[in-house]
Amino acid sequence: MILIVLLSHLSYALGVSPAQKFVDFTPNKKETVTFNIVNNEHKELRLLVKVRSDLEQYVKLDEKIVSLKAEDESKGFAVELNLPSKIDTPGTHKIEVVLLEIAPDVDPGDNTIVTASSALVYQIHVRVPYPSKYAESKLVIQPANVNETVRFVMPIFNLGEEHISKAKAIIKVKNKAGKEITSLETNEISLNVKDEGKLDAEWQANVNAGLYSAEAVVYYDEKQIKFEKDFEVGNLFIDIVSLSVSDFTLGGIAQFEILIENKWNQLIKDVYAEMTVSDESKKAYPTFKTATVDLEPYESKKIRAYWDSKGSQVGIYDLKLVLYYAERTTEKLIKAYVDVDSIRTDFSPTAKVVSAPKSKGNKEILIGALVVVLVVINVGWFVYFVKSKKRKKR
Amino acid sequence: MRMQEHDKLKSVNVLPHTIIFIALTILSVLTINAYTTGSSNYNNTLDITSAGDNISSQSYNNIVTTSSISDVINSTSYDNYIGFAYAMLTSGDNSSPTFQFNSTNASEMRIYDFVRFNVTCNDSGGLHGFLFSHNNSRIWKNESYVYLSGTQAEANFTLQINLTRRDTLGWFFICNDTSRNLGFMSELTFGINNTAPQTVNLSFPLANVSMTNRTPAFNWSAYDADNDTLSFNLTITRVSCGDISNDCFTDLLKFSLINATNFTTPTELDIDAIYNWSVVTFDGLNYSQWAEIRNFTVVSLLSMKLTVSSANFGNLNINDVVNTTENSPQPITIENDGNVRLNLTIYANQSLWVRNYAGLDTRYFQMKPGNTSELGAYNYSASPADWVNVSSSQLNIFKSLHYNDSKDTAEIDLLIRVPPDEDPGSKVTGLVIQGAQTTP
Repeated sequence: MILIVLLSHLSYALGVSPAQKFVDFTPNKKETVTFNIVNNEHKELRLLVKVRSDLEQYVKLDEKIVSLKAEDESKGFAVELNLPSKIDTPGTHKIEVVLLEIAPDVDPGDNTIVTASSALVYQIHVRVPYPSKYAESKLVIQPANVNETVRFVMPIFNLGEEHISKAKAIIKVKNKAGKEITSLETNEISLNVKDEGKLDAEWQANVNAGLYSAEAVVYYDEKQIKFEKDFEVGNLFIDIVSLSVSDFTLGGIAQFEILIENKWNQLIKDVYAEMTVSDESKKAYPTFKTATVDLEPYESKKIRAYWDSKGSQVGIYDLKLVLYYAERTTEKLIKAYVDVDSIRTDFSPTAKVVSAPKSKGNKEILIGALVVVLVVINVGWFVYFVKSKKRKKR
Repeated sequence: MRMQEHDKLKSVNVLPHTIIFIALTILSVLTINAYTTGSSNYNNTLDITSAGDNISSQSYNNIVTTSSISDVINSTSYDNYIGFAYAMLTSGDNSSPTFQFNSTNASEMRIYDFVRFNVTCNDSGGLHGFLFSHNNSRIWKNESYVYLSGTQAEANFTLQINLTRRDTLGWFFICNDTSRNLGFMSELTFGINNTAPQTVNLSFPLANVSMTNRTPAFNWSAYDADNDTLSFNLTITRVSCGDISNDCFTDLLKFSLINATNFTTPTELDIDAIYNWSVVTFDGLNYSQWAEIRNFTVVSLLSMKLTVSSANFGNLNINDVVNTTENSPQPITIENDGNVRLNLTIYANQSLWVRNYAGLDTRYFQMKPGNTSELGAYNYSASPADWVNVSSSQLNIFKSLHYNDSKDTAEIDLLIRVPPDEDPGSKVTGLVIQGAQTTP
């Protein structure tokens, strides 16, 4: 038994470029297809080459064994095709050229060894034309943000036996409810046999962010190809709109009401937030996780978070709000100015005072006291003025 | 009486002081005057350029003088002024030349433009010549004197603009007549207009090259005469794609406001596709022309590396069951070094064991695909999830092994069971791991 063993733990690399080639069938076609065997690792390489295909008899290899020296960057390899006068089945016929590394012999001793060697497959695709008119296409959508341009591209290949005089596509953009938003028409082209062309159209996405669908029909002469594909405008996103606190007293439990809004045009399930409060010394209080809610498209909803302010002092605190949904997060860092009976935040766009209702009364008392003080000062000043006038008269 | 005497005495006492003070003052003034006007330490010089032939002519009543101290200034009593004056005619033709029809041949001026400045000089007594004055080099400069004749003549000068946008060019003509009267045209100014940046020179990729990098770097050079900060727009357009069923996704890429002369596309280009690329630049006001269109081809590369190519289980005993899941020995490890996704199949070229019942396709030699630390490297759901028997025919082991460096490795764990009646000795088998481009 011949033992073929690779040197343990050595890396072996093998490359082929290009990886494949398309050949358009014509009766009795002779074509030499070449590719490069790439010696990435700059090692001595010996390769066994073989062919696998239903067209194997029409393939002739340059060599059956290929050797590359360590200094060889790459080596060209030729495959000769002598195609028959006719191939009955239209479509693509694959010819696989397999390159298998021949590993050097090594004595394994008394060990149990499993070795591995690499093989690569170079593919030749023989495209046999379809009878009469036949084209293949695909719909590629380049998504965009809201108010930007979405591009619809349909490469189209004439794989039939006849010329295509007119090819164009109509694309209907629909929302997820199936309502048509717009209909687009691409450019119109003609395609010779074996030709490749491109149909494209653009759409200004002046719509809300969300998931949309495109239904495209490629018309080529009297035939058509249909596509349907979803695409996104903008990003799936839930915004944290506002934050408010009601009936707060320092030392008690503050209830934060977080208003969130689904900016996406689909239901988003299992949405929740985590709120972490930390004081000026960066000491963090335990993170609070809210209840989980579902948000309908564009729906706003309040979720509640709580903070136990027991033992806390008046001061500035950091609130970190993280909203979790659909494997995404929305995060907001908010400064909270905690007073004896109110919490004020710098929640954008403008600072917002969130406080308990009784603080209103306190303010009124303060203003009243201020008015009294001012009245006393004015009276005092008036008395002094009158007295000093009398003294002068004397 | 006493008072009067006292006053007299006082006046007598004061008077000498006053006299001395006045005297000293007069003396001082005279001394200074003597030094300033008559001292041999001073040269009175006359220095006039382009002001006529005869500076000593009687027609001048005001000789231009600048005085300089030629010796050491050792007195603090002096102020030293440097200035200039020009001579004026006092007799004959007193009227200065006048100007009309000032113009240029350009309504807008840009750097490197050649602009012709014109004015018509008039003088009834006869013109003598003109000077053109401008601040084209950011400081004022008089060009050479040009002779004129007659009572009306055009003064003109052609200047190549050296100023850039945001600069202002000032200019005027000075004409004089045969009686040496000077006429100054009012200064005119032009704001220098923006010059569009020059067309970008494309550097890399070179024209018609083939590459295997799907996110190639683009490089170019640019020049703006106004030295403005430039931004660039790069457009990459696919001309043709090779494989509609497998590729043809990236058709058009537009990158704008690039602030450097190089850019690496973050979006992958299609393989076996031809692309055109070009760049235009913008200086904040104007765009350059688009650069030439260059094309390049992204060629597919199928490449695979076995970073661990064998597993040595050592000397085993009968009924031993060993595997590579604990990395001892290490599993076979594969890296996709190419630029296309790989489908990998595996088969063994011979049985590991002598016993027939423990040949290939039995539980005595099994394998399982696994991930390295690079998660998501291949399609897990399309690859076996558990141990499968190693066969002599090809088995799918990895579907769609990625080529991105961050997730392009995977490993094959091996499990072997030594048959209870296996003969002692070396045990070797070879696995062939075969890669082909992933197709839909």
